[in-house]
Amino acid sequence: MKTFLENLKKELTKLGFNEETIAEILNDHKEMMQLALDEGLEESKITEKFGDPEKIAKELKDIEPDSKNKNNEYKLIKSFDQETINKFFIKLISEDLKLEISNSNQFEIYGKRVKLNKYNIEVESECLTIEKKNEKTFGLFSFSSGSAKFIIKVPHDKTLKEIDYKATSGDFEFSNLTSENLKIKNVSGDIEAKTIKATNFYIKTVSGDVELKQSEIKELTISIVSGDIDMDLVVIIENLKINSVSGDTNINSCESKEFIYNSVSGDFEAKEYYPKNANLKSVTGDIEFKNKDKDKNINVVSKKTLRGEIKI
Amino acid sequence: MNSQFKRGIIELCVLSELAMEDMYGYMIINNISQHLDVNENTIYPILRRLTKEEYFTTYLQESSNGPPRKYYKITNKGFNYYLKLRDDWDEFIGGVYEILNKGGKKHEDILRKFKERTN
Repeated sequence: MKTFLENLKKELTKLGFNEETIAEILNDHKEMMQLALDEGLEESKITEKFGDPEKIAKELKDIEPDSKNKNNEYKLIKSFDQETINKFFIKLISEDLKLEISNSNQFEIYGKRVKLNKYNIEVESECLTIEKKNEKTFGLFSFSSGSAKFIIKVPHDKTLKEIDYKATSGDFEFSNLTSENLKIKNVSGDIEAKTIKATNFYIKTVSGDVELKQSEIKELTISIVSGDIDMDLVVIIENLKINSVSGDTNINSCESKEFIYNSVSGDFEAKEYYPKNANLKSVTGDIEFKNKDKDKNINVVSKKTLRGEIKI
Repeated sequence: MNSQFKRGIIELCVLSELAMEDMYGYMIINNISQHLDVNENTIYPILRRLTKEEYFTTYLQESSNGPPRKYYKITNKGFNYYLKLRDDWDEFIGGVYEILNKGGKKHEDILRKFKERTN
């Protein structure tokens, strides 16, 4: 065991692993080997059972982010002139996506661990499409070290007509963005948006969380099953509609004209939120407004709850 | 067998083991090598990679004999990944069997059909 661990240490050092990682890997092997020896494995059979230290080190090297693995850095995939794009159509599976401000007047698409032959990335009729090709590959073959990530850099001050985003488990994060229409559909990925200006903003997700901050939106609709909603400093000019099954909703310092809330078992809590009109419906979830200004009135058009509590 | 393919299958097995309960490294290796001919060194890198991917977390637990052991615990993210991988696998292996069984399910069937055709 001693020789094995020494060799493993030597190989790991050779491949540039840091000390902490080496110690951890050696510890793990020590633990496994001791158990094997306790069960009666002969010292001489250690390599046979645990493999060749050189091979183990190489195998581990591929998955260490601290090693110089080129796949772990963002690379520019394509760039397009600012005038050529008005819409985004994005259809992904498990890839994370982030929208950022570009330093140039171009749209730039960056990818990390992206296998380009698996995606359609093109611009047609002013629409940028990033789409995972529909193929019958299956996870077992596409074994890779981690799921892919995309960044789209959007030129500063660019107003988009539409963003249509669909994904299964990838997270979607965007900030400093202006778009007339925003349609986001996700299953388990989280959605995080900050400083957004939009006319119509529609979010639908099953178990992903939604976080929205410092934004100005004309119409906002959120439909969610078990994910939580967090809203902070969002000005909604017209209506805010929230449909939630079991997720909790937290609203802090937001504004809207109408507020329509429907929930089964999720709880709702608002601080400093004074919608003009409110329609509140919940089966067992609680609804509570913790507003400081008692003079500002919320006109409750309707409220219904079976077992929950409504406090305003 | 193609090593990439094998690795994928072992990954699925590791996920399946941990979907049942938290286990320490050697226990996973033992459980899997009871059924499959795997070299231990293929499992450890998978454990490490899936932990990095946040599919597993680890914690140390005292054992009645010997030093504490590192247990692996599957996360929600890992569980969802497992379900997806398993669907992929079922679909794939189902397709494979549909192809294979066209020629007969048992050796005798296959042999008989082959003889009929070649005679």
